[in-house]
Amino acid sequence: MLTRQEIDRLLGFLERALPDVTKVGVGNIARVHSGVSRETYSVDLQYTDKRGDHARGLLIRRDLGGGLRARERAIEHAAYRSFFGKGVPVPEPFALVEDASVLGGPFLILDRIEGHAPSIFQPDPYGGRRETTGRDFFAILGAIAAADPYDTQLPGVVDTPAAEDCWRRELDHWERVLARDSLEPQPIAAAAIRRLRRNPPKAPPRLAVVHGDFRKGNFMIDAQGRIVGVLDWELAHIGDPMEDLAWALDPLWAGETQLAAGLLDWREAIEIWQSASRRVFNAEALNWWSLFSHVKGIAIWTSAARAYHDGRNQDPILAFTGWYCAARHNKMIADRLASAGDGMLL
Amino acid sequence: MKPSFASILMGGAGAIAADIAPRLDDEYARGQAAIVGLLMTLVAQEADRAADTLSLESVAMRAIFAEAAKQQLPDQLRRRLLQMAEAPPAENFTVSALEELVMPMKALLIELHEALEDRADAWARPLEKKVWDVLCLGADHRSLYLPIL
Repeated sequence: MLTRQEIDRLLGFLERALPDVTKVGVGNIARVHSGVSRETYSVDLQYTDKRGDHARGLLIRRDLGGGLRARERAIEHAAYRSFFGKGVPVPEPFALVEDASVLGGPFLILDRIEGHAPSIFQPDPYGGRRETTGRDFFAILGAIAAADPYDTQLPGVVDTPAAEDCWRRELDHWERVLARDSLEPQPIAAAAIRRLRRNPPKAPPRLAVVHGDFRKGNFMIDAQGRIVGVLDWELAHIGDPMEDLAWALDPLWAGETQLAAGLLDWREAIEIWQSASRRVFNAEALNWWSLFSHVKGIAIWTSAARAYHDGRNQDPILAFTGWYCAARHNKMIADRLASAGDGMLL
Repeated sequence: MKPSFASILMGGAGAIAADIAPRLDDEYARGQAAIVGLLMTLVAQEADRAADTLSLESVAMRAIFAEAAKQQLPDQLRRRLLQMAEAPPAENFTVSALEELVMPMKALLIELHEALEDRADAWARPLEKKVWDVLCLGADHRSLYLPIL
């Protein structure tokens, strides 16, 4: 939880950040169960300026992990600024604070969106409105893919690869993460990486913004099942839009269902995505990026397990993902590559 | 009769879900309690079988190493395959000791797997299949399910 001193420093920051403010107060500070790499707090802000009294619900997302996390937060902030008010529902960014003297690390302040995030732990988190959520899910994913990355603020904070290098850059990155954080040899992931390098996908016709973690758990829905906020943009980058689609379609997020993302019939999901993205669905590329998604997943879960093992972060969700999700992805790869030979998903 | 590890852990997870979490006022604390409960169900599934899985993997990998050591692979790799195949068997069957034993085997299996993939010889394919068999065995034995708590 935020300490009294941290709350006082936060108030001081808000007083400086809000123009012409005469009075600032915060209340109802509660930690929210969200994310594995940060602390998220819900805060009610009240302030007075020359126009009168105001109330505003905020989310504060704090990282304590140092430099790497600061970069992720800057990427997330750029993504929110790029998409707010432009057809992709995201919370309005209030401030990115890189000064560690306020809350002990970089933090992001967002306007709070009212709704709830369907959890990967809930068997039916959509309350009978699964298809409504599913149509929004694939339409929003398509809208992200439709955006011209050069019209966003991402090129200022992430690099722009050549189209033919998208796959290599991502695979190199996650292979390095695996090498850095693995606590034991990972023969299944290693076999998948070799398979991916030997069979690279065709370059995308156009680069796209890639959310990087578009899935159940990272969006919020309202009571009607409509998606009202897409969160967790810290892995956003510029790359191949099939990467985002493959990650969203990873069976890990589908639970026990055979549905696309656990939400919709596959055909309808891909039709909606194609229509919204104005891009052609490429089954071969999806197949490559799908196997890549399993590897990326293992890398993420391995990092979680490493942080937990080393005592850097002992949030039980890290132990859970580092174990359960890694076991699921290892099994998916083993089943695909051992049997079919070509590891086709579709 | 005494309760098994699994029944104790599942009982604990059930108590967290049914008795403890609903009494917590704070949403964050409820979420954390639910994850701790889920972790207990994972440990319940793994506790009894972990040593067995590692033993099976160790036996299967040794057999692959012994067979591969007879094939036309680089001398240096063949020597290490033979060495690993003929290493003394496990004497300590705790999970941690078996993990220590299996770790260098998995590293060598990666090397062998890559070497086999690079060979066009007919003998390499059945051996490659045996590598996948042991990888699938490990993945299958470590499969976990998430109960609805």
